[in-house]
Amino acid sequence: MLELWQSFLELIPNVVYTRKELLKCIIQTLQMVGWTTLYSAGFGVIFGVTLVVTQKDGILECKPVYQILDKLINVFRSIPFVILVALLIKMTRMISGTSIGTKGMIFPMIVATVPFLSRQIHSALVEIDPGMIEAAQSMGCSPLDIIWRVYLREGLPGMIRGATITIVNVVTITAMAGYVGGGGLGDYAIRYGWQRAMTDVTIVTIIIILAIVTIIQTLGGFLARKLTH
Amino acid sequence: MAQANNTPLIEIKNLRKVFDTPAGKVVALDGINLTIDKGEIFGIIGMSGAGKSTLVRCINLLERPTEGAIVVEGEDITKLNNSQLRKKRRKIAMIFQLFNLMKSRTIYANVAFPLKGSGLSRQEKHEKVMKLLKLVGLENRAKAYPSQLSGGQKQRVAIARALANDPSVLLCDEATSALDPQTTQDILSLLKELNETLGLTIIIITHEMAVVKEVCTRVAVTEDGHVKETGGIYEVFSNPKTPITKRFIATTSNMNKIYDVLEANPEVLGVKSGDVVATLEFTGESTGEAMISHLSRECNVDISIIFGNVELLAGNPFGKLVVSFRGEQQAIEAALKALNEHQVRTEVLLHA
Repeated sequence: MLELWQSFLELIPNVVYTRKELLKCIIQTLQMVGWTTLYSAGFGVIFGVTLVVTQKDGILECKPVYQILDKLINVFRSIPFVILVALLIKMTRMISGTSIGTKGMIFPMIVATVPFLSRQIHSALVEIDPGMIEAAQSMGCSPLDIIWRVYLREGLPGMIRGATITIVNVVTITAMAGYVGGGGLGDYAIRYGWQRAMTDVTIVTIIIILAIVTIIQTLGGFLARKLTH
Repeated sequence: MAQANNTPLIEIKNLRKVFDTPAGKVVALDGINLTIDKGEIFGIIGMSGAGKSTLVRCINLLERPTEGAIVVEGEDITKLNNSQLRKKRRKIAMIFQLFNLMKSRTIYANVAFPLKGSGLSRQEKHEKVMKLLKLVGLENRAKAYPSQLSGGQKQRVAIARALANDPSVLLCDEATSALDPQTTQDILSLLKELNETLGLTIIIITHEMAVVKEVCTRVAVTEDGHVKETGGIYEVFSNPKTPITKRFIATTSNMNKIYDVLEANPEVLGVKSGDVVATLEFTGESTGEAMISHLSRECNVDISIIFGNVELLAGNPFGKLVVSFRGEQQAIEAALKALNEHQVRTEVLLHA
């Protein structure tokens, strides 16, 4: 067994050589994914719910709010991430204290993720049987009650599915963060795998990212199934 | 049947509902005036598109009337503010065609759903939920999820949930339309039982005359956004005044088929040349009398019964016969006249 491991390590000499850097980069990636997911989830739910209640025939129908939010989401979704980072540089500095490194990456990543997740949450909530909303209304529930007790509760499996897709997306963006000094696995792959032509580094990075994505998808799928009755 | 005591529970006054659609204004309801008394089971029947669902949804303001008043227990609910309306809605329960249960909650949690904010303690809520589940016969399914139940069971859960806040009226929007005939019967019996034991006023929206016939005390027939005819169930069935009502009644009996056969091929029914075929409608007291044999003797005509049907409407028998008379022309006329004198309505269908 040990021998097998030894011969495997011999296959990836550059990875072994840069192992401290690799570990640091894995942690950076996980940090970026974690914080981005946390903040985006909060805003995504708020915006997703706002969209579904203010849209036509929603429980708090309000055309201006819906239109503005809808357009804003579309605009931010269409800006490529690399450009977004440059665009937000001053705001990032104000909010995070720095615009470089992992810390400086999290704010633009949130800005890039929230619109996507808001859409995912919105479409999950639209899927809820309008009959349930109607029943809740007929029982005398207030709009806030309906949001808490029907939308967020009955829409949970759908929201988790949407969030899973979003988190996988976030992992992809973190890889791009390397280009703009954000650190993480993308950075690692660029610096060693590409710039120094260490192919084994590139392959191992891909495998690690693949593993992260698989774990997220399996977990998300499991949770969503568990909550669907 | 719980005795309707003529105290109006719900008064719908000059109700008008107009929908703004891209294609222009659509008048869904116009000039609706209805009074529903405490303790009755009131049916509202209409074809799809007649506006009956809009009408029932106006009663709890799920649909805001364009004009008119909805007076529930003396209070015009169109004048209430949002929080007053929500409070009032707790007393106007509703069940739906597709049940509308909360899918991610257990049966228990579904029934407990409307009890939030009711001021009951945890223990009181538990007792109430179990009592309601027992009432609808599902106390052993408390932990199941809606997807594990049959349609009829789901509707029972919906009924238990609707009763959680002790409503004064239960609105049923096509509540049996998604159920098979046997389950429909079961749900209707349950509704009848609730009406009798709790004195619950029930408003049933349906497109099936059989449902109305089964449980309702009074009925309003709707068409094109208007109420065409209102009355006690016996009165409407035994003496329908509008074509739409007649059409609905025809759906509940086999009479139409007899008419078709009579028109196309009367020999099949044993009708010979010279015979007169007529329908006889027996209402009230005339139902019990031995009219046919009596007539046959008195007027010297042979009467053979082609088709007969007796049903109970709100507990009163109502009979309908299709018969053929054979004999002298005058004798037949005399027989028909004698029938009319005995409160039997006659209608000659065919002179063969």
